[in-house]
Amino acid sequence: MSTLPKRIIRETERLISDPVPDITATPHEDNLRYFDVSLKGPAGSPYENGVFKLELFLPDDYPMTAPKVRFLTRIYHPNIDRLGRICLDVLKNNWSPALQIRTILLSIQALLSSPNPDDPLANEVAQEWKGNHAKAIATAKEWTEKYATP
Amino acid sequence: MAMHVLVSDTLEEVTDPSDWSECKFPELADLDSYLRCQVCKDFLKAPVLTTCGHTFCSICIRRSITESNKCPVCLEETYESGLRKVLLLDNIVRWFSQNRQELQDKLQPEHINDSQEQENSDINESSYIVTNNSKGKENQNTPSFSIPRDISNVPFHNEISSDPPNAKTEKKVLAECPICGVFMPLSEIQGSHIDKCLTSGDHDKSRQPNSDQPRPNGQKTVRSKTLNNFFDKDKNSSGNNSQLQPNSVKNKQRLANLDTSISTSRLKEKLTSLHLSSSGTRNQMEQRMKEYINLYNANLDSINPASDRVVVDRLQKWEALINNKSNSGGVYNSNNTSNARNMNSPPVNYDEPTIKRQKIQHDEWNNKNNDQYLELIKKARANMKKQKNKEKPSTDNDSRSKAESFSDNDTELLL
Repeated sequence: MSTLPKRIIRETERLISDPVPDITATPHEDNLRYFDVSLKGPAGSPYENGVFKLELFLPDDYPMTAPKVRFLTRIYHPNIDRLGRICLDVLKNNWSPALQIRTILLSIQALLSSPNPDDPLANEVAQEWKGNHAKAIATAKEWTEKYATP
Repeated sequence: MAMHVLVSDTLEEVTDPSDWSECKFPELADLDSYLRCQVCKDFLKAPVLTTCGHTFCSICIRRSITESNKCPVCLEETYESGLRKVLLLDNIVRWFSQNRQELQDKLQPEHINDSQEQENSDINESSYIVTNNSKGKENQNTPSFSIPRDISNVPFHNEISSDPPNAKTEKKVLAECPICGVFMPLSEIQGSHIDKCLTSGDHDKSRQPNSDQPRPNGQKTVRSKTLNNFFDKDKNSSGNNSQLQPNSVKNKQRLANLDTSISTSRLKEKLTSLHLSSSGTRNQMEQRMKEYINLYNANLDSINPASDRVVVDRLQKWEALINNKSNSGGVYNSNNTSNARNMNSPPVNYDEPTIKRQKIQHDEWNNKNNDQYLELIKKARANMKKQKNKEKPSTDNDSRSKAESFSDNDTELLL
């Protein structure tokens, strides 16, 4: 096991003792930099009632670089691709060491509430989202039921 | 939450503002969080101020700037040349973190302090108790200093010496000059008196400030011993003035940033001239050099800087950590941790005994930490279950609290 900086211990402790509503993040017992995340789809979004699994990894130079986060559950969303990779500014250019796991997961939850098809990662989804919005929402709901219902 | 008590028992070193939530004066959690660095989330060490007005540990912001020239809080452009140390804040944080545990013990709800404790203590009253309870050494020759009773209301960046927001109380507050020990209105101390006192330098040190001297307006005496430690400690380290660094530091030049275009042989020379190892790849040498420059310059921002030897030690610890950690697995290969455990790839540069010592330290640390971790996870899970069971009957409540904490978290996000 690699040595853990205090900041990671602190964050983990807070995540477990004072969890964010609708989000759980639990470290693997054999690798405390690797978290299993589950996130409830926000109410009012097509992902409502879904529970999405993600993986989160804190790289060696965290918090100087952003955590790596990926959806494990399939999701129909213009900013999340087939592999679960997420297009989100705070995970890329706008990462700041003042951010933390908690804030990142909240940002991802917010991204589910407000997709941004103008800066897409999944092009086909984004086109559908803009061209035939009703159908896109229906598909997202369908996928949520199919893949993300516990 | 009872959890926090458990946690601080098992992970003593890791403190959190929420540790105050159960005490008699939970507002201290705010002060606690103001005194922390936004990057490492720990108490500020050798704090420095950026040009955009944000404060970080010197080493944290330097490392962050090495990565990108943005303020971690507001993302404004920030340069190393713009950093300024804040020595008074360094003292304040040191005082707070040293006395934190004791303050917490004294503010435990079941602990009845003394007659001064009233059931319906308002904020002022509570802060008064805080001041009163902190244990100091009564017979010190150092002067004491009265904290205005409503200091807890003062926004942090105004610092201790700023006017309390309530002008009415301000008039009443008599404070003791930290230098000569004479009581006078706070505004006077802040105005001309303290400067006079500092420059004249001939204050009578033998004068024992009478801490039990009654306040003229009939309020109970604030035996403000809280800042005594602060001055004592400082006296040991850097003379009487709370904001003076040792003289030896003043003559030290800061190291210039590494010019990454220099040749490898020049880089080796540089490392050698600083008594650092010049082994490893070019990249490793650059990283080592950069980290050393950061550590060295950050050390000079401390009110009580460590010796150069200690800085080299810190560099070695850092490098051992990096080496120990490298190849510990990426996000997409979670199950190679057994692999990672064997990845104690030999550090590139240090002599055999150092490596061994560091390895042992890491292993010890890991083992110790792991136990605590498992215990912690177990407790947390049990706690979560308990809470879930509690919350189930009242779904209405649940959704409301959800909304509340969501907006809370939003603010945090914006920070």
